[in-house]
Amino acid sequence: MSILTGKRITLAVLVSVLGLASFFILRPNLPIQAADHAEATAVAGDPGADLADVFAFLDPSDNSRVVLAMDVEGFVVPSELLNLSFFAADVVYRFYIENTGDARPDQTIDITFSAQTSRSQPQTATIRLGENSGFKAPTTVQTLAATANPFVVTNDPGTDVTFFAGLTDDPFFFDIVGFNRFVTSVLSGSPDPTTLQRGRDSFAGYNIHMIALSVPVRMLRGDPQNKIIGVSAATLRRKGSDDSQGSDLVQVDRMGIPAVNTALVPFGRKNAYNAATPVDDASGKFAADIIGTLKALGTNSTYIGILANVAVANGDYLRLDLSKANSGPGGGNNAGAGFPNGRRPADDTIDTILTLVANGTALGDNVNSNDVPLGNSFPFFAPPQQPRAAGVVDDSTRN
Amino acid sequence: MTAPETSRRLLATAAIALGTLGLGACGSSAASSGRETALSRAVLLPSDAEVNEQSIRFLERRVQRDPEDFIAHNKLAAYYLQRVRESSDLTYLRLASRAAHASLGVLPAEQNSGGLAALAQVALTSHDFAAARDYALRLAELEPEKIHPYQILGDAYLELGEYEQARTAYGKMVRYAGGIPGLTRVAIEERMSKLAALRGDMAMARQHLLAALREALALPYPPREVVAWDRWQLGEAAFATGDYQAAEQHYRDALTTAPGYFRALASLGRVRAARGDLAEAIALSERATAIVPDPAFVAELGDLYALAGRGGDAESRYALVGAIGKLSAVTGAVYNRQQALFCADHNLKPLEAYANAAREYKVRRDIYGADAVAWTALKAGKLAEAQAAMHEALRLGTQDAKLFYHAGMIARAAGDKVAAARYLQRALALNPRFDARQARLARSVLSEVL
Repeated sequence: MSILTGKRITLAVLVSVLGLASFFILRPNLPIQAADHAEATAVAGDPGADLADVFAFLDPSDNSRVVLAMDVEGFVVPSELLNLSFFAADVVYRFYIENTGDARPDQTIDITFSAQTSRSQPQTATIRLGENSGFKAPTTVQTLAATANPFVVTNDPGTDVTFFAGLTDDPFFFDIVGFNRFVTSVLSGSPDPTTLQRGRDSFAGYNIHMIALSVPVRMLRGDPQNKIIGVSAATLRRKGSDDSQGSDLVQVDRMGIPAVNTALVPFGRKNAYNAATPVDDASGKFAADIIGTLKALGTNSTYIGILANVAVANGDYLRLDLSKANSGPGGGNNAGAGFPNGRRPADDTIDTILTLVANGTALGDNVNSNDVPLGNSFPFFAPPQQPRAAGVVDDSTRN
Repeated sequence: MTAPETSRRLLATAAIALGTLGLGACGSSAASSGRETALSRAVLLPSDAEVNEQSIRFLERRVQRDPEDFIAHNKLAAYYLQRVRESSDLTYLRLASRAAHASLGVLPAEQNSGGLAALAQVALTSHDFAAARDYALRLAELEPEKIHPYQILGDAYLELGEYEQARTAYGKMVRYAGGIPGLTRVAIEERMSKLAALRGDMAMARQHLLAALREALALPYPPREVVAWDRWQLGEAAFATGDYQAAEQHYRDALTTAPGYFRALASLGRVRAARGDLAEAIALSERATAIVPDPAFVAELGDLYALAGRGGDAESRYALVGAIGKLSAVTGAVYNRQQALFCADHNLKPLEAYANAAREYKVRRDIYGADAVAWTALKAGKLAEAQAAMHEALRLGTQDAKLFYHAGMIARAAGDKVAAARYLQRALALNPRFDARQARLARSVLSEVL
């Protein structure tokens, strides 16, 4: 199994794997994270626009609906809830829907937020479904109380689209340290699977900003005969100086299949990738990068073909088969219906990717499920992790 | 002492550049006070201390459970650094350093740019500016289109006296920030203010500072420490131009925003002294030194005691200044320059002070480093070195009474009475009571050379 025996792994692979580890410090929208020399205020990153995950799955209790979700800006400590529980007002959060089998997006759903004006008042989200329809809905306000506020879910009767935005428990589960150590060991020529035995969920105990929609399948499938849709997400922001407020939107980040951007696109190409489109993917713009990474990992041509087919041939979309029944708790868990068919919150995407990269030999990071139970109804994610009451020691940091 | 180089906390110089300078033009004061009324009145802002404490405990427990949780280490480093900023307590600097190193011990920088960012920030706060620059350059390689690598890089260059490179780095910060509002904008405005102040454009420096304050106040919950800092900086700018009334108001606004804010307490004491209220000045200065025994605060208090005829109390404060620098390598590095200037101001250990200032200037060639070399060289009897260094210190056109005072004293020592008078007059015209003790000396020397 190549990933274990591969002798020559480019540094780029290693680096890229942990692209996601890069943005946790010195969050710009939080002064507490902004220690600085000369006491001037410090910033970091691109607040509110770093995509962490994208999900697309059929509602397990009503397969005539598709749940779309994206989350941004994770690693929110429970006691940071009030400071961080808002969405950037200058960012467009966009879902691309592809329903004709090529790389070109056929529909977009844009979500924008009003500026946050108070810790106790919701922001107003504006959801635009294509050109002519849309609605507004409030976000869920956070609390520092021991129990989270209930999710505020809004159904728009005109479109029958349901919306949620707010902090949730971070649904991703993955041992970043173990994974990196493993890749490092492969790189050094002595692959060490024991590095994957830590079994520590790097995301446990933290919250993340979630945006989720439940959309009738008919609105997304295009041709009534079409069975497969592609879903990807992007964040866009107005760039430019103060005096050019009307400047164009610039894509900051995008994501489709988990780990394509994160693990397979070399570090030096990430900015180019983030700014590109699925059409660029399909034109082969990043094919050499991705294939180079996989070869370096020792993935054979069969599995390179499988991965390239999903990530390159028709662009980086999560592809969801609308005819494949989804059922079970936590957004669905029946075998064969999950990632890489769309992506459900409970799917162990890292193990799936590792196994594909390792030419089908089962390989995983020993973190197999989320640290808290997922929800059984929309939006299917767990409530945010709350700080303990004053004086109560939080001895369950869950990592 | 006045605002300037001797001025407070850990990271003085650049911030001070602004503080010492303030507004040059006479007419700008009315215009700017008009602008200020557009700001909302200072109000008490809530402290996040308790929530932050909770977050720190959460993260500390995480790293106890899993010492390899590098993300928690990175976040902890950031919290500790903020503690340093808020309290000047260098214990937290050591904790931040430990967290950054622990993080990078788990995963190297190539896989952990957050750990590298923490380390770069720790180096900056520890006054290891060359290391901060190198870490920031590496960070910029890893994250070429992020904002924070260029912020740290620009800050390091500024401290190292590489002003053009600082400007370039900040330019990239602006470019990659685009129109991002909020604290990103605050951080940028504060840095634009510093650059303007260094080149002597006080009106522009002040405008940027007001823009930073306005942006911070426009946030849904203005961050207390940032708002207090900006108000305090506005006070420093006003003080630097001798507008003591405005300065006092800014300091009081800072204290309204954040009661007990030690920077504003110390500065308010200084401005009360400038306005002739020695008793209140001493009371305020005592409060500030009780909170943070910054050698500049302590020296200032010693000077106030001396002026009040309390020679014994003054001497004990001066002795304390010397002791603080010896406490540890960290405090030594952080307060090195303040120590040298203190010695020069008080004609103590001139050769040692000069040697320290000259050693630092070899690696850190900012204008205030040049000023420290010049001032200590003069006291050490090295006139040629003093003149050369003073020339460097004035090279940007910075408008700072202390720089002009030092230049005047050096010119007098060189026998150039005309230049001496010119510099001393400039110092006293700009900020007549720039320092409780040194301004008096300036005045008496001026009357000699005239």
